[in-house]
Amino acid sequence: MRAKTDHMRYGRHMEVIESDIMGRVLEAMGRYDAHRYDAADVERALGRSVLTIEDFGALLSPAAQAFLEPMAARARHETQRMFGNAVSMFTPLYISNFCENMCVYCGFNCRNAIRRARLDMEAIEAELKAIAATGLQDILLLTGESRSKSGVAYIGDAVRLAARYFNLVGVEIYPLNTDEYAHLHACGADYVCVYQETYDTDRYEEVHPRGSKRIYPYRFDAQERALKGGMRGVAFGALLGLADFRKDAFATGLHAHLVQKKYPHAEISFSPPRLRPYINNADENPRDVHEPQLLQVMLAYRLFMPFAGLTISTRERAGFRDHVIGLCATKISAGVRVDIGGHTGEEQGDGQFEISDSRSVAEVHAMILKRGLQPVYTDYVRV
Amino acid sequence: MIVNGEEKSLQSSVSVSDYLISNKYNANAVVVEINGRIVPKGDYGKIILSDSDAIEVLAFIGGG
Amino acid sequence: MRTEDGPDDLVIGGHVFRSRFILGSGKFSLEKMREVIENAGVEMATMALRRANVGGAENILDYVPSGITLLPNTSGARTAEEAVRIARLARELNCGDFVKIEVIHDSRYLLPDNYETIRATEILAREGFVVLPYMYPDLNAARAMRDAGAAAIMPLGAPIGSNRGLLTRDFIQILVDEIDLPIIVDAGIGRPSQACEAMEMGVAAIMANTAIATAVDVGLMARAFRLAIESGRAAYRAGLGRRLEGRAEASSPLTGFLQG
Repeated sequence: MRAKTDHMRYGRHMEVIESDIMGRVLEAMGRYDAHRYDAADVERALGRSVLTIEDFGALLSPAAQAFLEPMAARARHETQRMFGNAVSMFTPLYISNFCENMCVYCGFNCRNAIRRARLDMEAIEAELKAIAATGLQDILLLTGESRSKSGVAYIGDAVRLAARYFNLVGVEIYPLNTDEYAHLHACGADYVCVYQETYDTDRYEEVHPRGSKRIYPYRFDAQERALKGGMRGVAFGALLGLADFRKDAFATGLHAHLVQKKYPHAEISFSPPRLRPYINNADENPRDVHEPQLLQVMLAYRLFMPFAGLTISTRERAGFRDHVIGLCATKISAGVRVDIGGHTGEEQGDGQFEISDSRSVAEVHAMILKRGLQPVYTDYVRV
Repeated sequence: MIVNGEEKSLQSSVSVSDYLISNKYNANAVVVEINGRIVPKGDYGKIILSDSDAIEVLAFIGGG
Repeated sequence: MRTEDGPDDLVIGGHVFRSRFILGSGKFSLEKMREVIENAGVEMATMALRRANVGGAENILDYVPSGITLLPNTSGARTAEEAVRIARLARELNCGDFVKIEVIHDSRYLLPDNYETIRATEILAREGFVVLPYMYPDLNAARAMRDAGAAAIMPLGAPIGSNRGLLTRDFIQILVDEIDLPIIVDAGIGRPSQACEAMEMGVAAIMANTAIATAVDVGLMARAFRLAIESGRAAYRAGLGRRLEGRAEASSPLTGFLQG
């Protein structure tokens, strides 16, 4: 049996940048003990107009579960203050699901027998047209990790194409080097999403047995490389439930906070993807993220970084999504298909996860208005 | 010679330190600039003033 | 920020101070200045550099107790180049490497020029000075000064000599929250309570001059400032929480929609 690669050592071709952020996040996460906070700590955090890192830790603790309502009230106030009534809309477009990684939690795992597909430019354009017809102006392009099947040049071409139909193009792909991010930015991409999945280095090693994604630090520093490459915005997130979700959320917030401090111009946002708990367990399991815990994490992100975006995906049911916008979430997906070629009905490849909310753009638009909020399709114009 | 922006006559060639002494300056309490260049304290005895020089003699006062 | 009991020293450019009260020495007679330094427990005092037109004058340095750090300031400078010149001249007087950059070419309000100050900071930091720039509280300018090598940031509370207190308090708070350097409020503090308020905000130290110099009992006012600064600092360390204004109260539960 082949010896496993050291997950903390950079591979060949992986750019190493000078940054102390990973060290600081790992150190703080190691020290973070969610159980040592009590109600007084949570109240104190809620009473401060600018939260410290300690306060953020308190809001993620079990003690804060009893304070969801006041946290929500304050989060709504902060969201209103920073974002008014605006809720941004977007959709993801999966252009390739070929993947060399073996991530145990993912539908695209290279060991999974799924239909693999990679859209050519003609098929991508058809998808883009179909999506643009719904009125959306903000698109997120996704691929699995395969430099041979969906290399940077291919992605760059797709970005260029997307930029012709959409005002804002984001990418959620495998981590790249700075010059590669610069290339995608030149092609028209403005934001990059990279989720660390889990910040717990041991658990990370467990769930990423093979493939480039196994290398923890290269993934961790991706946002910085993206910003150095000229990207305007970066998104952070952990797959809640993969490990101790409180620690992971704490590390996510701290990671984003430190990157924001270092790159004050960067537009930061959060995403809280969650692994559904298998059994509805009465015992408190640090890997069980039910809706109250998911909301707690989202509210904590909002209160810790009031100006950061917060995106809610279709992993969650419609009722949950409808209520978190205006409360803490500022961006919502609509008209979602996670299979390859799904938007034109010409499905070629299987999807990454199961969608819980398949409402169309028009339906989500109507829902946002009904909630007294304002659907926003585009935030700026690229010149 | 111009001292602190004013014309002053220079009797004879004197060193900076002699100039300071004869004008009752405390050499430790002032800093001297000749033609825009700061004179290091160690050179006060060596640098000779000439009639065409413009010098500044500055000291701390209360302020700021 | 630690809240344990323990030394709460102020560290600027590697130098350690116990006192968070910096004295501006203008407007005092030399005797009064000495009295204030002793009463206020001050460990740092500013000085200005001027032409010494008269020999035999008193040396202000004789009135500054030993152990006090001198903070020469570049008052009179209207450009970065003038500030740099004054700083280099002041350093020749062998009183250390500290310099407060003050570049003002607005004679009506005496507001500092942030841009010239950034330029002077860069030059002087490279020459090994411990640079404390006096500035109008602007986060972007403060970041530029920090990146240029400043050892602290000195935002004004109100125009010099106005005694109008913390007119710029919200912007000073932003600096405290965003810049990892000591933030020292300079200019405008008119009362000990204002010094206390600034310290409660998390400001690292206070500089005051006019408020003390124009008091009826200068020595007693110096002591009042000392107590106010210590009190504000203690309150900050004790974990003073700031209240949010205008928190909306929801009429029906916002979290009623949760399932599981």
